[in-house]
Amino acid sequence: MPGSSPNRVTASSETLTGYLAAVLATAVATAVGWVLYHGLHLPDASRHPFLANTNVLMLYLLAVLWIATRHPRGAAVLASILGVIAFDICFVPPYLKLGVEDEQYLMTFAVMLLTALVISTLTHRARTQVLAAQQAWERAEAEFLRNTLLSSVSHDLRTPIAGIVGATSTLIESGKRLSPGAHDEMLATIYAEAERMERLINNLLQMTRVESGGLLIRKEWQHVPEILGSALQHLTKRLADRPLTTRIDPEVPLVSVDSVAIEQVLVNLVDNAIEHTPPGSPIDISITSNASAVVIEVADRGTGLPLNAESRVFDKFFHAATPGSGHRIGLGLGLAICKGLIDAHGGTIRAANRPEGGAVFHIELPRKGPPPPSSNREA
Amino acid sequence: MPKPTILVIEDERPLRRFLRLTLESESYAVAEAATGELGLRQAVGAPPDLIILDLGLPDLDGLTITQRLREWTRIPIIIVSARGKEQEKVAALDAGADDYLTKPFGVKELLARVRVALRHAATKLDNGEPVFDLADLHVDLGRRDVTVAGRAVHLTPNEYRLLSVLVKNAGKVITHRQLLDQVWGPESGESVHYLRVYMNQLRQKLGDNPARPKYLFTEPGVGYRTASE
Repeated sequence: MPGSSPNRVTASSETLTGYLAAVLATAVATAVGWVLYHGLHLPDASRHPFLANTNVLMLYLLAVLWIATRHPRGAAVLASILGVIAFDICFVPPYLKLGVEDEQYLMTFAVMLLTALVISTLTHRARTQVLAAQQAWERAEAEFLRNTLLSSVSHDLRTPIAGIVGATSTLIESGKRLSPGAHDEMLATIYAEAERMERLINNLLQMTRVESGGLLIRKEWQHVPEILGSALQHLTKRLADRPLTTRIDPEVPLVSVDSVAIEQVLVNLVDNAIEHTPPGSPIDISITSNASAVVIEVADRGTGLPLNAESRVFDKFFHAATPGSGHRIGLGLGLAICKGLIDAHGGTIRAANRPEGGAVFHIELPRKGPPPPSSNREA
Repeated sequence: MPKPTILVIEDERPLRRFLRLTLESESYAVAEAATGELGLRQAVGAPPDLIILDLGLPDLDGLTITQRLREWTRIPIIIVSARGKEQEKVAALDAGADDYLTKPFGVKELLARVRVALRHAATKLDNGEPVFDLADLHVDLGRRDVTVAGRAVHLTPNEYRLLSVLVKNAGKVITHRQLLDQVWGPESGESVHYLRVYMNQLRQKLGDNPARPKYLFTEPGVGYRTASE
């Protein structure tokens, strides 16, 4: 199978690293044991050691344990065997030779090897179980997200479709008998619902791009107030009944970002404010800068974020329970997309409640170096 | 004056029908082509006054069609593109297409683009109007005179050139590349950020808030558009 060879390479290089680590750990244990047992000298049977050689055994067991927690089982087995051999050579007379003078050491070796193998087996088993639990958790989470996605998509697409089908069938069946006012209202419904579907599908596509890493960020030196201008242009109709204030620092520097992505972030944030605050409630947007970043704030005067939801609002499918309304407005992807896009710029986005009431979204886009110098600058 | 003819090159039948109904109700004559090749042949056989060109045709891409049309004609071209096709859109505009619409678009937007494109095609013949007025902004291209609400605005030569290119093309999108070429010259090699710095200065002098412009609108990733009506 052509696809399997990279995996095999990775697996075998992992095994190799494990064996190397086993050799290294054994060497370290030997070196430490050597200093504690022989001091900084060659072995000398006449000198009294700092500690009994059996205590050095513990160092080797420690090495085995360390290897077993990090590397495949084979490496731990190798560390166990190397440990016994190194112990025999360095700490059991005759020194620097394989073999023993006192045969009771054979017993020591056997117990040492057995203990090391048991440790490595137990550790390996614990590790496998943790990994399996982790994978099961991830699977369950993926399953949950998939189910949520399917139910959200089918619910949120069906609602506008129901509106469109209902209104068009009324127009076809009894269009001539409707009052002009009702007629126009039907048409307005169809238009609004179709636009809502369009927004949902765009969000869904964008989320897929953010998730799959298929997002193409094309950075250029941009003037963020310009981007806000075109975002607000797109929202003109939806902002018609909203008092909107923009506070722009005239000295905001250019910053290297993808204008289309940042426009989408701004549209989503303002959309979010429109959806979660009562009609006619004001929205304030400011663009300023500090030494390291251009700072955008989008603030509203609604009921604010639910308790402790400051970071959860950026989760996919998160819905703030809107008191009294009882119906959900979108898929809950808008803010997750904002986070994905801002992350892709190396920026930060946070949500907070304003002391005077309402929510505020705070974005920092990093200023990375000055824009490239321009020639023939005019006075 | 005969009705202006608009050639619609679009493979999706529902969209073609929508365009035909809308344009005919505004007393334009409409011709249709479902593929790029057919559209090119029709444009040669019976040259229209304006072409509406979809970017997602099955046989030819928008850039190729625009280039092949521009080999022999200045007929205005309005591009219709889906979202997420910014690159292809900008390439077609740089190759000489006049304007664009992003799907889904409303009738008002469509008709405004068509009117502006036809007007620009017509004024090219009589050298255009030397005076531009929009709300408080007054630009006299003959006398190189710019005022906002009667107050004179002092612009540097480059700022003035930038403004004059923008108002001469009022209502129509101009790409970054086109602005750089026309203001600084095709060999200047200036980059887009330089243009942004100048736009910011120009807007400040005209008292035009970039976040809520009255005169100069930003088309992200594409260029700028001066308001016209």
